[in-house]
Amino acid sequence: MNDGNSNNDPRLDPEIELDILLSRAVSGDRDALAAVRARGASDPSILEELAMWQADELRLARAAREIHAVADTVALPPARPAFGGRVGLGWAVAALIALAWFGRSVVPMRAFDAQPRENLAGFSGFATSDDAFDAYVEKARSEGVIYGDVEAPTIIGSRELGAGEGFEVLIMRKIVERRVLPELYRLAPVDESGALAPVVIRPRTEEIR
Amino acid sequence: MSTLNVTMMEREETPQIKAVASDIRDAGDDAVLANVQEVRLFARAASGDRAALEEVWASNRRWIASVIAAHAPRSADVEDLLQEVAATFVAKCKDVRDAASLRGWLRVVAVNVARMAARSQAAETRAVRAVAHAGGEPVAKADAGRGAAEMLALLERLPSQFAEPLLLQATQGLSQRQLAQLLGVPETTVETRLARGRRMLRQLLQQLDSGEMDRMDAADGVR
Repeated sequence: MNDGNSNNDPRLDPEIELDILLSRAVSGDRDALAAVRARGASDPSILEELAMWQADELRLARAAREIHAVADTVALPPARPAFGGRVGLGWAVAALIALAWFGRSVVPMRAFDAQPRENLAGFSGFATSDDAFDAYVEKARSEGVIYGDVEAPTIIGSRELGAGEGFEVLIMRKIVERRVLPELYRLAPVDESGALAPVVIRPRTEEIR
Repeated sequence: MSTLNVTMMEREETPQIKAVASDIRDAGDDAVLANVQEVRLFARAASGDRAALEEVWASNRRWIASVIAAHAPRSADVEDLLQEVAATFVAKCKDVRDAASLRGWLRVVAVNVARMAARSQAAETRAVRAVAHAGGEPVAKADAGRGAAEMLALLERLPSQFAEPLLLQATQGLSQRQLAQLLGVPETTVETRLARGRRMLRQLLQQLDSGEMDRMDAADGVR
């Protein structure tokens, strides 16, 4: 799209020339405003156009003020976040949340399939994954970590296996945990190479019932 | 401020600041002083002076947010993206060799952050659709949070080269000269982009008011 950089000056186009005049007038150029009014004496549609452009400018300014309000809430993060020195659950949970929020929310199925069950550290004492899950729920409840009720699993996919084999279902378990974190970070890319850095963030939601 | 005082200041300042002062001398003494002070502030910020960093950030974050809004998808959280820019500013400003170009560097960072958000959103949208198709059940797309006003939604339909100068001028009341310096284009280009951008915006608003936009979106399968 020609935006004035080429040798064929689009500003010589009468339509563009009028738009530039209107744009100058809307930007506060008094000479341009006078010129528009002078033209409008013989062509009232130009004055109508000016009025519409001025109204649009007010709407733009309102939108810009919304951006201002957001921008004014964003402070600089610490120069060097206390990441490496943190130990214990607070840091670990913050790191987990940071990883989740980075946006890698869809993990290829192959990643799970390739992981041998016997290599899942810490789960060797349970007969089944369901036993391990139930134990986690019980422990988390006792610690006050689970927030609200543990909902019944949600079926997100199913197919019949045929030959009387039953059904294959995909289920999603949803558990809400309540954690108190010393700090809240989000891992975000900070340059073109995608290098990640922790960014101090404020919570997205304001209420926890 | 008199020319004499400006000359005395130049002798005390670094070669970089002297060059800036001489380049903008035709803008008048007050403007020269303001720009020299700004470059000094930028230089202190680049050296890691925390107070200077805070001051630079506070005086520039509004227009940076406008740049993000002009380049990021409508559903993007401007606040989040602005925090990313803030983190980059703190971490990387010492690498900016020319303090006078700090504002231009910040703009590039903001544009890159916004574009990465657009790419991430596109990937997430594809993933959500893939899960929906695999599961056979409709999956509600997560609410990405409140967007900007209707005007910002319309601005997203404009090419960013037109949306950005519109928002910057509305946000900061920047002169075309200042916009040209920030965008790295000639003043005539800024003027043309503002005019074209306003014309396109007018046309979009006409379509919106007449209902034509809804019909067009429905035909394109846009929600």
